[in-house]
Amino acid sequence: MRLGTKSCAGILILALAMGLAACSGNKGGGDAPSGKKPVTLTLLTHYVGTNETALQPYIDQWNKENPDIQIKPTPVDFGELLKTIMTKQTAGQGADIMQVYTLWGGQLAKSNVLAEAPQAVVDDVTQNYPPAAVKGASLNGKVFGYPTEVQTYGLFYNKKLLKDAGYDQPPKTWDELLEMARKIEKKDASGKVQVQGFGFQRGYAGIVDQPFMAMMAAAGSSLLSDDYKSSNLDSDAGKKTVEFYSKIYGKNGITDISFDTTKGFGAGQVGMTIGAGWWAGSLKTLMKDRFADIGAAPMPSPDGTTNGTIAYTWAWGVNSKSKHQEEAWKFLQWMNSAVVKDGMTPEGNFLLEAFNTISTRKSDLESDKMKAKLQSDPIIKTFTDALEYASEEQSPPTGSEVQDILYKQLESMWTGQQSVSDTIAQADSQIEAKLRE
Amino acid sequence: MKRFGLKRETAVAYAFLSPVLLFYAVFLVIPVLFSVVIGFTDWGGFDLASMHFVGLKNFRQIFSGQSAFVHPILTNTFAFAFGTVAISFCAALAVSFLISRLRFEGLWRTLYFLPTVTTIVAIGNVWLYLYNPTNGLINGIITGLGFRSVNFLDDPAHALPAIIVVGGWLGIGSSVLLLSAGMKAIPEDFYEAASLEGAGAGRQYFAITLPLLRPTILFVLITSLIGGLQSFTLTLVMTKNGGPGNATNVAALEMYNQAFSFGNWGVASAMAFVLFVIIFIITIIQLLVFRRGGVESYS
Repeated sequence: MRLGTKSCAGILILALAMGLAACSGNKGGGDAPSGKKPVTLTLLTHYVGTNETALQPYIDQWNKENPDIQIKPTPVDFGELLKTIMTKQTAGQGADIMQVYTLWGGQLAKSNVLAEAPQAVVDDVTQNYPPAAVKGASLNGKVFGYPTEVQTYGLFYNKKLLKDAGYDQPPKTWDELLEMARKIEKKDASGKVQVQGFGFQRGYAGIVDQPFMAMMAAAGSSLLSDDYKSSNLDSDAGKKTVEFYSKIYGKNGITDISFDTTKGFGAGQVGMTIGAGWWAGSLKTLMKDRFADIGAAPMPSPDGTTNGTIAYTWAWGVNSKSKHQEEAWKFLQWMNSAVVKDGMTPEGNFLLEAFNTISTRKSDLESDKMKAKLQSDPIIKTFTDALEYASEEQSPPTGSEVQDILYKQLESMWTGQQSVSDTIAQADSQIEAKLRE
Repeated sequence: MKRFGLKRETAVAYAFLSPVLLFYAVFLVIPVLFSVVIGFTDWGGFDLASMHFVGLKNFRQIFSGQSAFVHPILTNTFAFAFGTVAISFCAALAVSFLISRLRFEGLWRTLYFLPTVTTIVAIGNVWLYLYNPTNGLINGIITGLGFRSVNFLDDPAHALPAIIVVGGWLGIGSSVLLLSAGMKAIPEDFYEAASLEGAGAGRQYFAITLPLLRPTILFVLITSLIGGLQSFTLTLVMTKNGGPGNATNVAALEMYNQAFSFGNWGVASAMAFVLFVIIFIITIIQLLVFRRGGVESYS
């Protein structure tokens, strides 16, 4: 019996030791002592579903042409991307190449997540992209990678609904927008909205705040001061924008906050809304033939005389902890500067195919295909033209928190929890307190 | 010889326990201690080397006037926890009593337990549809009765109660399971004796069932309250960010956003530590209140 007990204990301890050894497997990123094995670089993006499918041919092309440097995409949902970067970085398993939203720039810079770009890349970016895109792909004034999606905001409208209400053109001023929205709006006997004249998309901070910042830019001001030390919400432009927002939802609003503007626009039930250029691609896929009813126009301004909007940027960067930075930059330079098809770069082709949106690289814009596209697609042209006057989305170190504050204050105003003046005062003071941290 | 045999048995016992102890050390004790340490640092969540000590700064920040942590976040958390426990516990007491008097007791218990084994994401989305002010089932009934539709999740006055109802409904099943098991453990002799004394069903319930169920009730209340105070998924699914404004924001959701959206791991960990202390105090109070009772104390 004692022998049996000894054996049991010995087997258990041995099993435990083997289990621990199995769990501590080496997961190195392709670094081989001989140096002859192919290097595998992980590419972390938010391109899932159809976007992943659109990107894959270019990855496959690179992999075929570069057997020594293999790219392995690891896409996650947009909502999970920052968290994935964070947790993997802490665990020492960060991706070699990442696509980052530049609002996160402050957080990433604070923790030195991204490597500085080599001089060749810096020169390439500064010489071949518009200022808003270069600023978007920079942290603390230094270029960290290649701008990819540079999305401006504009007014999407349903031509059919506008025409049914007697309008041939989209609005140019905020008052015109409100007037048209009231005429387009239709409700049933119980007060339920059947057709919404104008609504703001809702659901998370970015989708509420970015149109706000675009409208504030159209009114003549950015949300924050240039030095990121104060908020401009209590400026004339800020107050006008908040007041406009108070007229859309809430007790005195022209429409019902419970109506889903995003779904409704895709279903042809919304006259107008504010959106970013990439949305056109999704609407085209969703609406099919009915997409012909959709138009896009520059952001209306308070008096119709000024142009203004914002552009937010996504950018490729290399992980500062990657063991294969040289190879990673090589791939990114190919992805963003080599001409592979239709006179455009792989990135340019991918953005067009996946999002029906244009690359901001000069050579892509000058290609015959892009010129033809801009001539034949007025929606893309609207958002491309807006790049000329768009200001970049401001990204202080506490950028995500600033946007969360603005979002919650606007939602509180819309749901009747506070007045317009309280919204401006509280948002202004909370944002400034956050900027001081 | 005997002492020598005892030592060997002890060694064997520890050998059997070592995998579990190691598991708890690695996945529970160390992370909890690390979390407490993070609460006293400023860390962005990316690089451990960039962590630096800031003392009580995070705790001061969450208790400052500018922070929404105490109100409305903690107040929402308490409202959610106590509200869901009140609904689920009272309903479970009634349901388990009624089930014990019906045929096919197992079937009823299974039906009530089904929501517990269903993923919260699915449940949250189903209730989102039910609450939809435009074409949801509940508003369909309300408008059918001639009333105006209610904007459950966009009206700050209704949003939190609407989620509390869902949370309470979710908790009924597990409470029914535990309470019915507790009821089955009460010997029939007590009820027979009470019947002979002339006690009706109601008197028997309040004089025999409830007092003898105290240990089970204690367990149900403690676990339900802990679950309620830590609740996160339901609010995330149904309101995304604890909106409108902070009307449905709860502590666990705020911690999640502080850490994963804003990169304020120190603040998030400080909030977690405060929540831990609150849960600990509430649990101790419950233990003190319900410590007496149960079948053993009356045997």
